[in-house]
Amino acid sequence: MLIDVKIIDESSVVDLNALVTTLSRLNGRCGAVVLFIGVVKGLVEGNRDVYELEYTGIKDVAIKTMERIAREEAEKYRLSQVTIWHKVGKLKPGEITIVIAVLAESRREAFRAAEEILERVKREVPIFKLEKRSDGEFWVIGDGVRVKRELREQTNK
Amino acid sequence: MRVVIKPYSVFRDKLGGDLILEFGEDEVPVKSILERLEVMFSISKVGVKPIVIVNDSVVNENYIVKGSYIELYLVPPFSGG
Repeated sequence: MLIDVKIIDESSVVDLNALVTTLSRLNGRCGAVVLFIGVVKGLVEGNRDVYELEYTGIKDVAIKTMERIAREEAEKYRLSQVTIWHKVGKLKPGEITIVIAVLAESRREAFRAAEEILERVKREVPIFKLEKRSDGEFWVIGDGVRVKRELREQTNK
Repeated sequence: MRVVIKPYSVFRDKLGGDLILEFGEDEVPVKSILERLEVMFSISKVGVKPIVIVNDSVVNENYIVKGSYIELYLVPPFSGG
């Protein structure tokens, strides 16, 4: 079983070619690869223009949590590979935010595992999103609540 | 005990950055730390229930932090993905 988790800085390239090369080395019992790529949306809440998302995270805790999720899901669905890459920093619309890839025996396990991993990452990994848009800056809280930012000079590491 | 508070997201805006709190004991419930932060910063006015992370794990208000030095992350519900 291969577990591959990373937090990738904004300046680093997400190397999908390398990932696909790794995934293409299928062993005999695997018949399905599911690859999910999340990207920055340029519109939210109907028609609000987003010009940038800024992700911050508690890197050490995030890595450990992603490793735990990957191992638990790999065991549950008998996956041969789990990849979870999450970007942090300032990202523009269309840029990749997250990559999840799983390699499984069959499509059902692969689809279920990929979706479950994504939902768990959103719920369990300490990463935070600041939405910068035409009507101000908003902290995204959990899966959708937004709090308008009052201070602009603070930044996370 | 020295507790280093490391806030993220809305709580970083509220606290203004990392913060060190001193306590007379070496065992302090998370609830007491949150109460001190409420007195100092009115963190409840953020309108978001904070999540506390200690030693890489999410802990509840009854958790007791122990030792002479501890780092505590104060964060909102996560929004990665």
